Amino acid sequence: MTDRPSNHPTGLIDKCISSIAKGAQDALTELYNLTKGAVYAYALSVTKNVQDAEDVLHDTFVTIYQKAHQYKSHSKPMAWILTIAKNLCYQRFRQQGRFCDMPDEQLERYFVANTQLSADDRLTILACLQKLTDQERQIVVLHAVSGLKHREIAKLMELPLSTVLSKYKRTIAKLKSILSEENQ
Amino acid sequence: MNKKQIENRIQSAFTSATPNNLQSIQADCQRVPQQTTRRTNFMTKRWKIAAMALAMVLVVAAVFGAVDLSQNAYAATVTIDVNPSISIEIDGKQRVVSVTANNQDAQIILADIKEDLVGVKVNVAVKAILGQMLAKGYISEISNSVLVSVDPQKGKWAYDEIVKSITDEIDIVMTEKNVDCSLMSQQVKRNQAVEELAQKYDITVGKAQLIYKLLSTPDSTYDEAKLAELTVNELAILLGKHGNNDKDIERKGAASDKAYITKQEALTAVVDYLNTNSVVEGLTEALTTDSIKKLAEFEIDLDFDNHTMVYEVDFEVAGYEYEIEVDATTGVVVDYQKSIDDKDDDRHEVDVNKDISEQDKQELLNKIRTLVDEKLGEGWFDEHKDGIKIEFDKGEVEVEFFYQGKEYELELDINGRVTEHMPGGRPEHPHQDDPTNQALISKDEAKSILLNHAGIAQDAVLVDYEIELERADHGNMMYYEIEFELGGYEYEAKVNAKTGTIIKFTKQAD
Repeated sequence: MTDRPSNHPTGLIDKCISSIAKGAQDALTELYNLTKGAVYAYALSVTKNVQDAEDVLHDTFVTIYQKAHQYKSHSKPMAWILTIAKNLCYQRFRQQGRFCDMPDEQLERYFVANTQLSADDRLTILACLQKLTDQERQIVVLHAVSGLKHREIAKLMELPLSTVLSKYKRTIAKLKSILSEENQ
Repeated sequence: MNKKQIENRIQSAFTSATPNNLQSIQADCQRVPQQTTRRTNFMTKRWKIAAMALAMVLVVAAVFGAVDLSQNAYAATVTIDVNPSISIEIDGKQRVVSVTANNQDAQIILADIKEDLVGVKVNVAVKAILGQMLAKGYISEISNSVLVSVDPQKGKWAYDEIVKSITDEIDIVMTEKNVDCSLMSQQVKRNQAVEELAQKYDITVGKAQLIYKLLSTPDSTYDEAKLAELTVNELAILLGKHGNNDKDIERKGAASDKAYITKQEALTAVVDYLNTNSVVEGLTEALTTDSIKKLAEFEIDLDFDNHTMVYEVDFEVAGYEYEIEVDATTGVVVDYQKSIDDKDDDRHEVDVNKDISEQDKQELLNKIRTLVDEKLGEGWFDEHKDGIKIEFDKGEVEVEFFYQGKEYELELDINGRVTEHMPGGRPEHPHQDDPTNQALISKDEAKSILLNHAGIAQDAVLVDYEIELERADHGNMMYYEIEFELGGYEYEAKVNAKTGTIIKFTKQAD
């Protein structure tokens, strides 16, 4: 299996973080526009709660702004950003005592009301949130949306690379079957 | 659809769903200073403490000079157990060689500091870890116990030196944070049974050693699997109950019981229960929380039974021993036992190894018949004999049967003396308000209550769903045990079958 090419220009993101460390507000805006989808998708895939995911999105970028000076470029800026998001997700988990998954019908209501989404988008996001296990969802989102390489996903999720590879393959096949069925 | 098309659909869906909250991020970034401090206005106080602990690690690391990793051979393993469980390997100079998170809670503790700990002195590392545990609420006034286990390569002298340095540091941190700490420290001893326990329940050898101590206490009735689920604070409470005379475990401070109802509240529950059901014979007046304390052999202790921390209340009246357990979290009476007090009774000399002769068996059966018929009506025993389980063992006979859906147990020694009398956990003289006489909720109602509690839609498709009605061991509480899987999580719960209260709820990643 080949790794999906990154959706996020590593060099540009790297440069944005360096500029943020020097206090450049416009670099923060640029970084936000480049990576907000990846961060939100990951946070939503972990928390399964749109409000929590939005809060994690917010806190992640404030933390990036705070800690940009600590970032050392190793050509893996997305892994760094998503590690911050992961820690914030788990911090919420600690504060709340448990993950507060939104019930399925609440998720449905939320996404139906979101006019930014096409019918296909709605079907896809609900399939990911309702039909996949947490691990499956995080693996596909981290690869397909956040553009992380499988080995980076393995490191972030503390899983063996072979597990990530096989789960990714199986989950894509599962989604294919679900989406084909629902599209009929 | 091919793989690429599916990936594109996922990307499009999540990207389109992403809200735009840039303005609020920019506003927050302008409000807080960048770099100069880790403290931010929007962050919680706990994070401020965590940040200070981390800063302290870095300062002390600087004082000790360049990190010397030349002595990487490890000299001891130090394990810190609270609920987060962290193992630290240290070299001969007490510097950290590696740090391992042994459970998910530990991963949360180490998330921000793990890399900074390698190379610093172990006491400094422990200080940072404790700072995180305090900041993230793992150590607090309601759960204040820390277990330090040291497995030195070079024997007792190395242990003494390492443990002193660590416990002194913990003392300082706890004093600074005004937390009355319950600190236990021990040297890890080679013991196959302990190591097997650790492996079986995926816990540290240090925690397994503590559990082994509890299992080895005189008259221990603990279940190792249930003990393995407890936090170190709960284990410390149990250890405190068995006295503080174990020379293998150095203890300082008492484990907090502030997470539970008070003894007085437990006593109120017991007195209400006993008065409502009028089960204590030989009393002229209703019991009060003061008068119960004056009864013979009165004792109240926090203990653990059947997955629950309970207050165990014992006393004796008119030749009977009473033992009542109150759930220490909910204040509900969960177990009631009344048995004949056999102390100072010469007739109660029993040879426990004596085989019961056929003649003795017949006499015992007659005695059982009389006792049961007295309670349930003349002729009941013979009418229902087929459904009554009677087991003769050396020196005793056990009787079990059901009456109106409730389990009754009776034990007699070879002399025909009742040694345990547990009438289905309910009072011998059922009162019309006796909660055990109330109807149970249905399985569907229990499921619905649980799904509400878990925030799961009522019509969600649950995988491997199982529900069973159970009775608490030696208790009167009936509950539904429910298990299922959903969204990559395994759910396990117990719902009180009378009140519908959730008495246990766990959600674990599959």
